[in-house]
Amino acid sequence: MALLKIENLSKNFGALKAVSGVSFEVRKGQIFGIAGPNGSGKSTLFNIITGVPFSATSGAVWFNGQSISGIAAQKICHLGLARTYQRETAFDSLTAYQNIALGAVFGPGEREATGAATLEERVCRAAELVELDRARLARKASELSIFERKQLMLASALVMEPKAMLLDEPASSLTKPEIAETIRIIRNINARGIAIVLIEHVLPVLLSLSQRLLVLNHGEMLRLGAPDDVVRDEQVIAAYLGKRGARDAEAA
Amino acid sequence: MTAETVLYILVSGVVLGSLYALMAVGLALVWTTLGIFNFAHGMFITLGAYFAWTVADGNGLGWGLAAGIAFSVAALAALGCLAEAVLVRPFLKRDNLVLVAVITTLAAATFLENATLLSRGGRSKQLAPLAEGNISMFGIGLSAHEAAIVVIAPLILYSVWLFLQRTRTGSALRAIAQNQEAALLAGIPVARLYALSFALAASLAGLVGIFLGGIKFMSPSMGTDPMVKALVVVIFGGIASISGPIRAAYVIGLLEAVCIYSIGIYWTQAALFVVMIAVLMIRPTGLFGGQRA
Repeated sequence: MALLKIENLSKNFGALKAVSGVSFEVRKGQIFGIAGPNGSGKSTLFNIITGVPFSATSGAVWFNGQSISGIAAQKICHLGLARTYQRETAFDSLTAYQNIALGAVFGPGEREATGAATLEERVCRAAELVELDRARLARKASELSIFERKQLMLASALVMEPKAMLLDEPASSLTKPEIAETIRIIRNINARGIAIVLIEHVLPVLLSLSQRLLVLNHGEMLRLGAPDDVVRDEQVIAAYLGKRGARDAEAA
Repeated sequence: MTAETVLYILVSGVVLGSLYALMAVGLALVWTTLGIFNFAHGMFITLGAYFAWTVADGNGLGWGLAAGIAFSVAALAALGCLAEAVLVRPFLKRDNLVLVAVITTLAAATFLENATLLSRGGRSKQLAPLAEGNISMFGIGLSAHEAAIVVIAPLILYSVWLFLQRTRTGSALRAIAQNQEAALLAGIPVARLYALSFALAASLAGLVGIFLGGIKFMSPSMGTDPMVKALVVVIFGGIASISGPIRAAYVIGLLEAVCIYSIGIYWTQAALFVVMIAVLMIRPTGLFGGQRA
């Protein structure tokens, strides 16, 4: 059964169709990649899936067998759906620890998924899983490096014990070693049975992780399928990858 | 200028600063969490004094000042929740919320001011002071009431600071102020915390009303002038942190005391605005703004 089911989802801003008729399914524990040129509606898609800051114009989102269109925003994570942002978003004046703790306290809602673990144990476990140095937890989020802020964002989502995570360009503006670490971290998260929907421009990340790949163009679905097939698709090469990108994709 | 004069100016500056700080913190709290300016804040001050008077004074229920303060603070908290539910919540989804909130809170302020005038009359009233008598310190006389304000205000401010820094709810409030979207997706009950920040701000304003009511005569419009000062303080100090307005409040209080002594009360307000404009030209994020804390 699909964990996350997107049905004919559309978002219009006036005459602009930011997302148009997008449908796909993500199974439990799957890594689902989304690619496309800038402005193709990838982040908007995440926004309308969660309904924050705006909801879809039409279409439906099902999560864990339940329609979540129109559900109160703060309840989304209670159901087990978390997201990260393209920009390293954190509550800057709070310490890294406080950032993660907020998710731990408010995130799971009524779910009794945590067993007997204390708040501190849960925060530290989340930090450990994303390989965020424990010594950095006492620092203010604003004092962390870009990579650490990305790790913090993942830990804050992870601590809510989600069933699925929507990751918006987790590898952007990172160095090569950091990207390699990010891939490892996402694999570790996924190994805990958490489904991942991954928006990414960094092709090696996308191709080494995704089991299914969707390419968006002008808000519409250009191609959906196995990653190897998708990157060889003529339309995908023309609209997004370009000839050189396609060669890189082959290499990856 | 004698040493006594300097001391006198200092003390009256600190008294003013204490009151401004209590007001400004509430104003800043609502401003940062909801992103709106609450023009009814001045009426919370007025009502704080009138509620306390109604319960405490012999012409009202006559239950004494302690009961009056307790009732007033509780009533203001409830009123704060109500104000949020009626004046802000119905318009949260609108793009022009900031503008709508200006109108709804101004309307509420006008309504409440005239309701107070109608129900309590225009005749000036005065609340009993927190403490009777005078104390003399370093050769200057000071009313015990003002001395109590100088001691109590920082304690209250410190408790608010502790609440914001050390508790989960406080962290959640700060989180909302910084990124509402991310706060929502972290499961923080944003709407409930909006009500809480309004309630907290209203209670603090109510206390200011009670303190003021023991210094000056009460009138239905007694909150207006302090609210304008609090606005100056908040802009002057920067709203990025809770400590910015507090520090600015004491700076403004002292400045005002110096101005009143040197150029007279008539020009004081103008001088404050000149200083505020000058500060903003050099530091647009406010004197203590620029970094979030």
